[in-house]
Parts: sequence; structure tokens; C-alpha cells
Amino acid sequence: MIRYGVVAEKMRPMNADDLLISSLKLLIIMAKANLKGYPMGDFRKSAMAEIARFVFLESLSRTASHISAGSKPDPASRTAGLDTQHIDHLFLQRIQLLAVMLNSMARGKSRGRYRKKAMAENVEQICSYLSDRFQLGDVQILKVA
Amino acid sequence: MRVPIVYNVKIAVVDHDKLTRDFVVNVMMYSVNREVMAFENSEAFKVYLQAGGTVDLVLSEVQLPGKSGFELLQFIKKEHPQIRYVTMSANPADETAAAELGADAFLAKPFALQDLFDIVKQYVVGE
Repeated sequence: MIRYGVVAEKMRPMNADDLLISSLKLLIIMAKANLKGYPMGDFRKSAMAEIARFVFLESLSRTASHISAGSKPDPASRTAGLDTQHIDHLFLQRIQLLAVMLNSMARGKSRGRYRKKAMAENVEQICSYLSDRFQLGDVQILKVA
Repeated sequence: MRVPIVYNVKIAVVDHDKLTRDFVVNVMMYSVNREVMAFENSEAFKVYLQAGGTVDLVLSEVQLPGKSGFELLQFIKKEHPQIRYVTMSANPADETAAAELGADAFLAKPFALQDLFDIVKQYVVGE
């Protein structure tokens, strides 16, 4: 039997933060694949739209929490992978923008040169933010995307 | 160029937690560019199989409403031994049981995106 996932001592149910960071990584991979012109079938478009929708809604709810909490850090909300309460408001906006861009691409829109350039720059900013703040292991996947 | 292990792969995800289930379905759907089936409980998946449905790879949570993922694992290994079965769990104690019941892989929660890609590499697209 092959084993995947965290070590036994760190096992626990998945929470919204786990799913948000993994979905964000997938969104970045999708964006980079799209920018490189990799083929996208209907199922990939469908998966892209669903992931973009999830990331948009989750980051939106965190933006609302930031505003209502006055951006004060909440130590109780820390999780092993990502402390989403400590991320910048602007970063959340960039995540939402990426989700909107990919949702649009999944629907066959936003294919122009400048839109792609804007998406590439947004992806670079997000990757840069993540690699500055999180463990190397967490962002290795971004380098192979 | 990668040589697929399974052509036209059929994947099913069984998990009662909608957020996790949808995430796994979307990652798999994006990875293999095919429709991926989703089931809330093991009974629904068994009904699908008993009606003649086929699948190559299953990712199933252990804790499910009604019959557990382990009961599903036993059923599949007895009736459909060709199906690859990945047990997902947040409980370390489930790992030994999964191995004894013949699971092909154990996916410990919380898992990362890379773990799902590794499963696709191992059972679907090859290295």
C-alpha cells in the first residue's frame, strides 16, 4: 500500500483553509498552463470554472472577515498550512482577480494579449507573495507549474 | 512523452464532505480531462457498480454515512478486484486497517494538491 498525505501525527480533517491554499495552487497551475497555450478540453474548463468560483467565494469571505475584524490577527485561526487571517488585503484582492480571470477564460473570454499579460503579472505577484511568506515545500509546486 | 497506464480512465470520489469531494473531483477532472463521478456515500456507489457501472480508480473516505469506506473497500476487493482503491482518512488508526483490507493507497488528511497529482501519476498517466 502506497502512502500519501501528511504524517500520522499531523492527521486531521480537511478545513476551508487547506482547501483554499490547495485550490489556489491549482488555480496558479491552470493559469500558467493557459498562458503557455496548453490544450483545454471541456472538462478542464469545467474544473477551472468550479475551482475559480470556490477560490473567489472563499477569498471574498476572508476579505469580509478582514474588514469586520479591522485586519487584526486571530491566533486561534492558525492552521498548519496557511494562516489565512494574516494575509494582506491586497493579496486577497489579487486572488479574487485571478479567480475572475480564470473563470472568464474557462468561458472562452479574456483571450486578448493584454489580458494575458495582466494575468501573467498577477500570477507572478501571487507566487512571489507566497514564496516570501510560506515554507519552501508549500510553494515547490508553483515552480513546476 | 508519458504513456498512460489506463486509457479513458474512469474515476470515482466517495466523500460525504462536499467541499473536499468537490475539490478532489475538480483536481482529478483537470488532471485527466475526463468526467469524474462523485458519490456522497458508499451505498450510492455500490448501486452504480451493481447496475453495471465501471470505474478504474476510487478515492473514498473511511467515515461515511451508512456503510463505512472499509465496508466499501471489502466489497470492491471481493467483487471488483481490478479497481484501484485509495482510502482517504483523517484518522491515523485507519491506516493499518486499510492495508489489511487490501487498499492500494492511503491518503492521509489533510492532503496537498501534489498528493493528488502523485496518485494520478501512479495510477493513470505514468511517470
